[in-house]
Amino acid sequence: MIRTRGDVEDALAFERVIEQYSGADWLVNEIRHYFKRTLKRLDVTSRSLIALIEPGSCFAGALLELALACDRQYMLDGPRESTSDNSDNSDSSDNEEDEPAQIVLSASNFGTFPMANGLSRLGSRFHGDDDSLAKPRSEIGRRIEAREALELGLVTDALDDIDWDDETRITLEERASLSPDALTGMEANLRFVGPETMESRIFARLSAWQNWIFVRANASGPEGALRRYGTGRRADFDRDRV
Amino acid sequence: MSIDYTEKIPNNVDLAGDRKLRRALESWRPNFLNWWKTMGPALPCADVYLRTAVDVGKEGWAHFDHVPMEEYRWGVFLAERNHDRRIAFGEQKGEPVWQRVPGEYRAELQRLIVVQGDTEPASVEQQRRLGETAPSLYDLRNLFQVNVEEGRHLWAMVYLLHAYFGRNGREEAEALLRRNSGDLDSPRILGAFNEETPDWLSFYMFTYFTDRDGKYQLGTLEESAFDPLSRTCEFMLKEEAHHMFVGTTGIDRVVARTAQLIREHDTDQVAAYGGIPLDVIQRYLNFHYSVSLDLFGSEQSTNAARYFTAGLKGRWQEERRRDDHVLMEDSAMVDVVRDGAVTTHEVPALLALNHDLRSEYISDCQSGLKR
Repeated sequence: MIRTRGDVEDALAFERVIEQYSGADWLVNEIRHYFKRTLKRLDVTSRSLIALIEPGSCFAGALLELALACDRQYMLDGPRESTSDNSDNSDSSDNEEDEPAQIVLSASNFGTFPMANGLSRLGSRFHGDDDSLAKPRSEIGRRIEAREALELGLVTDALDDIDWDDETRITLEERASLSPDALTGMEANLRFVGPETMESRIFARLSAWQNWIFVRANASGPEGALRRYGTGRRADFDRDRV
Repeated sequence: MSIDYTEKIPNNVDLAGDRKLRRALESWRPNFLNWWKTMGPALPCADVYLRTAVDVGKEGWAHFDHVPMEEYRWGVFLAERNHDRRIAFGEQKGEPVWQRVPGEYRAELQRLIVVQGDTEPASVEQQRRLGETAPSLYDLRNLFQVNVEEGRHLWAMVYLLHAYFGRNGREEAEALLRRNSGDLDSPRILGAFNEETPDWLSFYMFTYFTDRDGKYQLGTLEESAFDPLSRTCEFMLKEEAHHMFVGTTGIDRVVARTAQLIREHDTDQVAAYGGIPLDVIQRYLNFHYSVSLDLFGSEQSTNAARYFTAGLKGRWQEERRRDDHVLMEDSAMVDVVRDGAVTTHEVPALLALNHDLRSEYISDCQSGLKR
């Protein structure tokens, strides 16, 4: 699960510094590459990644890449209301959580941090659909709230605070109950769309299938899904990830 | 917990303290009332002597009074919670029951609840016009009682969908009102609930056979490891008993009258004397028994097996049975048609659970027929 916390403007300001000096200053340049490699590690992880975009988070520009590297993004629609049921004496203390969750696109989301297949994460997301990719490009710099993010295809779902806790809990539990290896294979396919590069041949879907499906017994072993299918018994999965 | 009748929606689930649930149920309520007005009993009437649930305990749970039907207090009532209750069967036998839906079984549980919930309003729709031809005031009152309680059972299922299944559950709750019995475009889910109930003999047969299926299905859900579902069904079964009583006594009276006329006039052609001939009764019985049997699903079912193993749906009176409640090694005999003849065939017990339930139902029906 990936969450962020902080100020959107701060995140964007850091990003501008990196951008401005990465050609001239070796340290800043290293930081940029380091962040690029961190994102690539997320792309090849054998775990399901889910981003929770809540009020007070700072998924902006380069940090929005964290959410885009995830398999699913859930965004809280509207403010988070107090969970206790005393609407009569509403506390009027305005903190950052009173503002709804927002995300901000920047130029970093369009090629600064390429994936192993040579595409940006948005480029992979909208592969073969240039219109859908052009739309978010025209929204650079603007604060985007949940409904709009959903319309732009930037998040999986926009949930209001009534549903948030239940839906996210059930999503996580549901996912955890499925075969982790099958999910890894499927997610690697979905993460690395389109062109094959030398890098993606080594790190992307081919090695995911090799490592997590072909050599493991979760499907074909004595307690695997194929043997147990139709018996009314549940398959036992090896949930170890490394 | 006692039932709170000061609320808009009477309940014993602390609706007042649950903002989420209250918002969901209160926004569903007008749709339900609208549905009741357009699809509920068609006979206009002032007020009806009805039973209303007021408590769920042993010391009496109902209260009888004259109420206009539209103002019937449909509410949400669960049987008392047993804090030590443990899962009685399946892979997780012995573990504490669940107070919320495990993500792993969300889809299956939601499906079970939607299918059960779909049958409740369906029968109200099927019986919509029966009031116009009621043979007596007593029968009319019974009909309305059955109708309002089926309406309440819909509430019970909608409560579960709203309280435990998030947005998806709310959408399903809406859909329960959008499907209509016999509708060509959006029919009810199960076949028997799309058949017509055009006359009172069908109504008695329906309450005898189809409601009895309901009793068995509720009985298996009462065993569920999902505790709120179990407690809901436990209380619904109390009300369901009366529905079957309506069927039993209804058929009793019809058959008794026929027998009386046969004796008086020494002929089995009793139609001319205002009786229903025995072969017509037999035909009604054949029809309703068959469509009700279909409700049990196929004899060999991997779905039923999965539900059992996961603890979602048990067997009839699971806790009174003497076996291991896991059924990994057992086998059962089911009837199959092979080369044009009926023979029996041995299958793993887990796959034959529908057959098991249907056998319980059949023996129950048989004892009624003998009478």
